[in-house]
Amino acid sequence: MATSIRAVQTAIALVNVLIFALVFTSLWPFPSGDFKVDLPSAGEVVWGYEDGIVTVSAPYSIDNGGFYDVDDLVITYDIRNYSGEPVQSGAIEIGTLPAGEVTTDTIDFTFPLLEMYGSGFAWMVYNDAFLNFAVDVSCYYTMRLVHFYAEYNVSVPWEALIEDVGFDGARSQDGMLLVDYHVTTSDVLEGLTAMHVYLYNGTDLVAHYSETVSLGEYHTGTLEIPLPLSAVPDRMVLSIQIFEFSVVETVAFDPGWLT
Amino acid sequence: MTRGKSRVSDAVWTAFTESLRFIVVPLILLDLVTSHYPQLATAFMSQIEGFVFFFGGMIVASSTLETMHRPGTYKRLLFGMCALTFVGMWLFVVFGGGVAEFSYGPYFVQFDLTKIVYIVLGGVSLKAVLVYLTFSVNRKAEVERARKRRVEEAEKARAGAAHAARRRTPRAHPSPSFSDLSSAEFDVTADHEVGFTPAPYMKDIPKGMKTCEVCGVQSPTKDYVCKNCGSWFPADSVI
Repeated sequence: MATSIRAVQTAIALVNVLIFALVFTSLWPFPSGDFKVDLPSAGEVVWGYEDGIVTVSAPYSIDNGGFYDVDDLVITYDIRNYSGEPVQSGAIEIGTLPAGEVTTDTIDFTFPLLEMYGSGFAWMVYNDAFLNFAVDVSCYYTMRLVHFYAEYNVSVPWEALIEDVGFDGARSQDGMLLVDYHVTTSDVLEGLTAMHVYLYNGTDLVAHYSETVSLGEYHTGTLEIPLPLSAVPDRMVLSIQIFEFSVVETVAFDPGWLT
Repeated sequence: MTRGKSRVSDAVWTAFTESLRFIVVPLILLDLVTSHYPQLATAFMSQIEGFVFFFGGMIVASSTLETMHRPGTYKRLLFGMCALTFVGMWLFVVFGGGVAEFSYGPYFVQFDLTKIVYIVLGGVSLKAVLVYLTFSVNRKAEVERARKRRVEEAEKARAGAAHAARRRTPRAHPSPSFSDLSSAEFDVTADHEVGFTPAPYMKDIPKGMKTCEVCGVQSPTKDYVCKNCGSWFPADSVI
């Protein structure tokens, strides 16, 4: 009779040791940092713009340094603008990540800013804003006994495509009318465009000159218009076309600039 | 008398160790965890200390009462099963039902360990087999012990009643009436054994060894506690 009790005691002790080992190996990788999820921070997001499409690339890394394979690893993302309007959403199904392996990739997506321009996204063209990234990681661990879910919310600053177009002053010098201006565009833009200056007297175009402007930086320039003019203008219009977006600024012409 | 004293000391020791295991040490660990990780949240975290106190107290009480009763008794079985049930509840509460949440900064992390908790509870419930096995193994001996006790009490009562009757009734007028006799349990032996009660068979015990009254396992005479079942030996048996 004592033998049976001893056998049961031994069996229970053995099972409990196995259970303890299972619990320990299931939990330990998380607090120890062996299982690590690195989701993109605001500074790591790379922006691009081409043909009205904004491209976004956000790096992530998942390190499975634990004892068991990670199953059903899925990364989902949902991006919304400052007012909560959905920008883009999707899911990346990675599947199984074997023990001891690391997966590193990027969350890549695009959104058609030009198409969205008319539906409340015009603000993003001319003003700085934030895009709210909600990234979720879901997976199973320890032969699907443990479910891990991580949610990460970060506001990524969005830099206006066309931050500023401004008239900085005018003067005459050496028989030329010098018009100073500046153009500030987002560094996601690349290429060249033209800054036009129109001088009007009523509805009559008195003079028109233009100059090449480089995009993606803070650009200052001076347009040189030969004097004398055929008439004294009453207003000056600065106009620039940056891809699909145009900016027009009108200033009253001061005759004192001609003296 | 000695056995009764050892049961009380067993119960006191059980109460002490179970209090450490299920109340004192867990509360210290919980305090450490909650002070270092205040962002950790479980379903019972807001009142976790109260739950640990309550279920831990129940475990201590049940285990103490279990130890106070002899193996093979229904009370010991009942309190053993109660203690196991409370251990299951205690574990469920300490594990937060299997779901733990942690949030810091922009991160929110959730661990769903429900299946692991069920496995742990399954492992704990295996001890129910041990409790029942201890009961069933010792049940026969306990029944025999109870029967002998009843017989002894009945014999004492019968002797007392006979003595009282002898003093009440004059010897010159003995009464054969059954109404004067009291009913009492009697140890009936077989006809051919009337007047002869064979001594129980005693197995030869090796020198320097003694036998545990509870589980029957032999132990060295210097031992205070049976290594098999944990019961205390009578003080006069320790050499």
